[in-house]
Amino acid sequence: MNVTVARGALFALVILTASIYLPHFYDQLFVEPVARSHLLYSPVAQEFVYSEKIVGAIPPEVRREAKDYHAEIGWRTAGGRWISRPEFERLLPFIYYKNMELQGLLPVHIAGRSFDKEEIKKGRRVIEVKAREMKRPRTPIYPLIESKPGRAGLIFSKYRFSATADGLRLINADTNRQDSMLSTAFSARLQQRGFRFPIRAVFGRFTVLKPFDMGAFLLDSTGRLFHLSYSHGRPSVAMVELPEKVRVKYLKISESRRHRYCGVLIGEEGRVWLLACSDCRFVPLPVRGYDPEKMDLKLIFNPVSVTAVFSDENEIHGLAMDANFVPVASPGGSVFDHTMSTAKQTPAKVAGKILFPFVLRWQRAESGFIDLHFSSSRYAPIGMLLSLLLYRGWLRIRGKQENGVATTRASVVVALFGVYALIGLFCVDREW
Amino acid sequence: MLRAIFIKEYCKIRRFWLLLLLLNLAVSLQMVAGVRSFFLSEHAEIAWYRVIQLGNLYCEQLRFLPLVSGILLGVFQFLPETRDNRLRLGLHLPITPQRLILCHLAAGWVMLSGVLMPDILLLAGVTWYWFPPRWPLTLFFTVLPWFLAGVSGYLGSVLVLVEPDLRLKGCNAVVAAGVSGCYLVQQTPGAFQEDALLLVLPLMLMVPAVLYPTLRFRCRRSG
Repeated sequence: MNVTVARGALFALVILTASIYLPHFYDQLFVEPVARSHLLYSPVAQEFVYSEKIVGAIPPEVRREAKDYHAEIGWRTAGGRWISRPEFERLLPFIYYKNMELQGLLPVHIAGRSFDKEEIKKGRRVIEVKAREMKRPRTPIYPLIESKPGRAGLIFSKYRFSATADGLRLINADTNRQDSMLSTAFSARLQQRGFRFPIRAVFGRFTVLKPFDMGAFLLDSTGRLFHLSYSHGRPSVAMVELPEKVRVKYLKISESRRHRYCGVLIGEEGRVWLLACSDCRFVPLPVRGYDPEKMDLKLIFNPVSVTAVFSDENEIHGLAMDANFVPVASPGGSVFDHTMSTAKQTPAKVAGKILFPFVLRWQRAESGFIDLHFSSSRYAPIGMLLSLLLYRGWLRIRGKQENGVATTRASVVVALFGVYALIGLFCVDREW
Repeated sequence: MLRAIFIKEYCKIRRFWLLLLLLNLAVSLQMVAGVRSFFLSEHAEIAWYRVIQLGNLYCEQLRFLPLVSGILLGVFQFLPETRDNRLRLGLHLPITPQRLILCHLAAGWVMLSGVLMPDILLLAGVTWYWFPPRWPLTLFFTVLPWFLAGVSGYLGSVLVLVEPDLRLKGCNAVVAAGVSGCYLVQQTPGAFQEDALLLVLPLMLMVPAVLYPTLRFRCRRSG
């Protein structure tokens, strides 16, 4: 191993660490953090309304309306009208009913019906499925919850279950050993119902902090879904009829006593269904354009309508439906697509893209796993060229030989790695 | 020759090494006592829920221990060498500088492994005894970066100490801190399991990188 290899290794190490940390520090110092917009459907105005941080110049009408809050947060209707925060809240009585109660604005009258606080509380519900929760590290060993504990609160049984190649393994937590009898009983019961091992996926909400237990849902090797519950020491298994031709990507379970639906099924193609608590039936939602790989999905229920809101880093989309999941026929339209202020290019963002020819990130926003990935932008060549000019200028000022082998080689490296290469030369070369 | 270097290194740092070993043993035993007390106060199914489902790790006290051990070991091993210019004498022995420094590093790694062994053994023992199968694999991918941070801390301290130039010493310190920081980033347990091989890449660069300041040290190319 010679000096060139050793020097190259140190240089590569500088570039690696610089491309991970510097863009991150730059963003922290100069790029204004912006959260995703809040998009909601107003049953009062019968159109979408949203709030978001304004990036750039604040319009004068927003300043005028910002009487009791910071002006950089804007509230707006889908039609483009800026509104004040109190008006925004009045347009969403099912969200801000507590404020409206304090202001003496309850009950509200919508679509010929009157809603007081209790009525509103009964019909409210939000189920959220984040792209990140579908791709996160899990230890495939799950608590077995006693579904009918005969008491007010749920309790964990002393068993955990995990999948093996040809069955289900039950582990007794008291002894930390497999319970062979129970493992055989569970596996046999699943096979009796037509389950084909190995298990492809397990879905459920494995906590006792919920009103009741729906059990677990197991996807078999052929893609069929089975419902497994446990009560009084015995397993209960039933096949769940999936919608036609659906390949299950994810099933979010979220039990609620006040609501008819206990979960959301996401198909591989981005189609969405609700899971009925009573009979495990799937009800389709007319959601189009949802990409479960990248987008977060939020289903917002209120006593008169249901809104599906799905967004990635830059775009947000809304679909308003009536209580029967039919897109509403309102003057404002049932669909709204909006480019959020997170997507807005600011001078600081553009300068960052010019300065750093590429960025290495440990994690993607839509994944819980460490996933080192590389990203670059179309502005990168400008920064590379500027770095090269800077380097050549420095050579000239210092009176160095500009056409030697070493300087030519360094120039090529600077042209490829931009500012990182300049930092690398500073950190490795004694003569800098 | 190599055996002689190993013996020399052992004689040089055996007292510090023993101190580090005791420190690691004490922290690991404290971790074992904590887990035992946890399982006495909670039923196993609740303890498992907190750890496996909620991700509350029982070995958080080990997160920075390998890094601190690695840095201290590097300092104990290389500070006398560079401060008193002993390494320069060694670099003129009838052995290539590359081989000599790799031999020093190998001695350091053996001693670092010895220091970290109680942590690894006690953590593995606790996990196998109290936790269900499948969890050890998740834990392995959770703590592996912490132990690799120990190796990067060791190599980083060598990179800094051997460099004769003060400015480059500072640069090397920043780079070494950056590499170690990558291993200690807060994550959900098991987050590294899809890209675990990438963890080795910075270390693979650090080993040859250490040779560069060594060669400069030999040629007296200080600032």
